Amino acid sequence: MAKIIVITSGKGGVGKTTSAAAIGTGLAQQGHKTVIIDFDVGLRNLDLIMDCERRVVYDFVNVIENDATINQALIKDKRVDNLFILPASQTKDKDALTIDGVERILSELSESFDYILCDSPAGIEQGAYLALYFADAAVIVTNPEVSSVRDSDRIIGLLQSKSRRAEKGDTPVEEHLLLTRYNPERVEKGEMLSIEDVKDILAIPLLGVIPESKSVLAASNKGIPVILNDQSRAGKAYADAVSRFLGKDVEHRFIEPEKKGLLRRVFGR
Amino acid sequence: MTEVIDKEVKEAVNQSFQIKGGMVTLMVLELLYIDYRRFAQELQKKVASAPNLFNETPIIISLEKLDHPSEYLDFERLIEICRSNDLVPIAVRGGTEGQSQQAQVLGLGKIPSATKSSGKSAQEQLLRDTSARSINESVETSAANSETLTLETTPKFQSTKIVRQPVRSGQRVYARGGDLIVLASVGDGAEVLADGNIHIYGSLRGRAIAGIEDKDNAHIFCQSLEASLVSIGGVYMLDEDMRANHWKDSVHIHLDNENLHIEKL
Ligand SMILES: Nc1ncnc2c1ncn2[C@@H]1O[C@H](COP(=O)(O)OP(=O)(O)OP(=O)(O)O)[C@@H](O)[C@H]1O
Ligand SMILES: [Mg+2]
Repeated sequence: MAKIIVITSGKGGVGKTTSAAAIGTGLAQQGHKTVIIDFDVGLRNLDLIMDCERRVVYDFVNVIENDATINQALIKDKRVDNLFILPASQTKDKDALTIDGVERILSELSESFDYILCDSPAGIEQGAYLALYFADAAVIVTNPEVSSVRDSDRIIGLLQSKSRRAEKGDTPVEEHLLLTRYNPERVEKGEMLSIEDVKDILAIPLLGVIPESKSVLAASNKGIPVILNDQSRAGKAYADAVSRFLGKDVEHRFIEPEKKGLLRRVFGR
Repeated sequence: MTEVIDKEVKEAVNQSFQIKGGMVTLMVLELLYIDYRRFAQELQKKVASAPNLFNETPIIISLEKLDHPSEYLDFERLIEICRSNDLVPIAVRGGTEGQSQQAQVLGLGKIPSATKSSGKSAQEQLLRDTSARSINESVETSAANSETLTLETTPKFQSTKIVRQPVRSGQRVYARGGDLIVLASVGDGAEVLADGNIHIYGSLRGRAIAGIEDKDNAHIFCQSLEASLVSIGGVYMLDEDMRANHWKDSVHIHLDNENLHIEKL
């Protein structure tokens, strides 16, 4: 039985897809058979970040509509063993996802995978709801600013009341806070919320803090999940988060302002 | 469901009376489709299952969720059904111009629609069946402005409602007929209401409305005052009124001579 993990946030553009790609890759690197499903029908981003855009033949909606089998639609990652992508449809309307269709596909994937990651679209509408409904665990991606924190709070409320686990009265969905685009210098100046502020408001366990880093955009432009760049601070922070997810006790890094030398200040990584 | 009506204090003139703005919590009866016989039967059943529930309670009839919004409505009949079940309709919310006029003739007030955008959002669609099931739940997450008929069967002034988890943005908890104790924080965009007192063992960032039934003995306590609104017995304060004093303090709020009084704990 696979563990179903939703990567969600409420607010758009906070780093869900970046995080889904990184965490999925990290789990696969650790030897777990992992599939990342793109629930963002109509936008299709995940395949760009994973560099499999030109290998998409069938997509999630084709499988839901029985135009293709799951195996026809799954794309195997070329770099990391055990890693698969189920891309979203770029052409279909977002109502193409149905709760029964999603359930059928998740249960079929559950038989052969260890982890199923659902990359949620922004918002709290149908797509986001379907991405979280079947989750066993949730990674709540949050930026250190007020509107993002508030939307995360809203999403946590939905997980606690509208997920399948909540409706059935099963053990609640596991909650993990992932603070991304964290900039310790700006926090110090009071321009952003601190880790403590966010933890205090959301009151769920902290899985990781991913620093704001240019290497993220560079990696996604090249189609390489940032976790594969072991020079990048964001990549290292994602690797730490994956270890914590798997139960290891790892200290948080990159959460204090950097004491930069002159060269690093000029060339900044 | 509860409905909070904000009115500005327009004027307090004249010798024989005063006009005061305030907040009143009212039940809203949302009609989903028109079938007078079914409506009468279902309402009767609801009353039979909770005899003390209605008790001449004023209600607002909402036309906003009607499946055929502009259909002709027999208001006389609707009012009659409500009255015979101990509900006192006082106003109509939403509906067409013609419908409001009809209602006005029969002595009902008119309240503008709560949901301005008329098209049903996907979110509302999504929540519709779950909310239909949540009739007896008091914690519910709903889209902004989408409201549901929440009727609690708890008899008056008996229970204290204890909430152990944070009340999150978009959620609303109502302790009908008693006090509310929250053993966590109330988030920005969340709302807690009680007929009696409200105790929050955490930060209050959203809205707290106490003393809906018993304003003279209602108090609000919280460990950090960061609220967007607090109200007791209809007298309210907004965050701008509170920021200067006692912001982020642990406080006790109560009514003193029709004014809200905030004291540091
Ligand atoms: N740690 C980071 N440092 C710098 N930039 C980042 C970081 N994380 C994400 N970004 C950038 O933020 C932008 C949005 O990221 P991403 O697409 O992952 O967000 P999303 O939450 O999936 O967005 P959407 O809601 O549109 O699906 C991208 O340009 C990405 O490169
Ligand atoms: Mg995305």
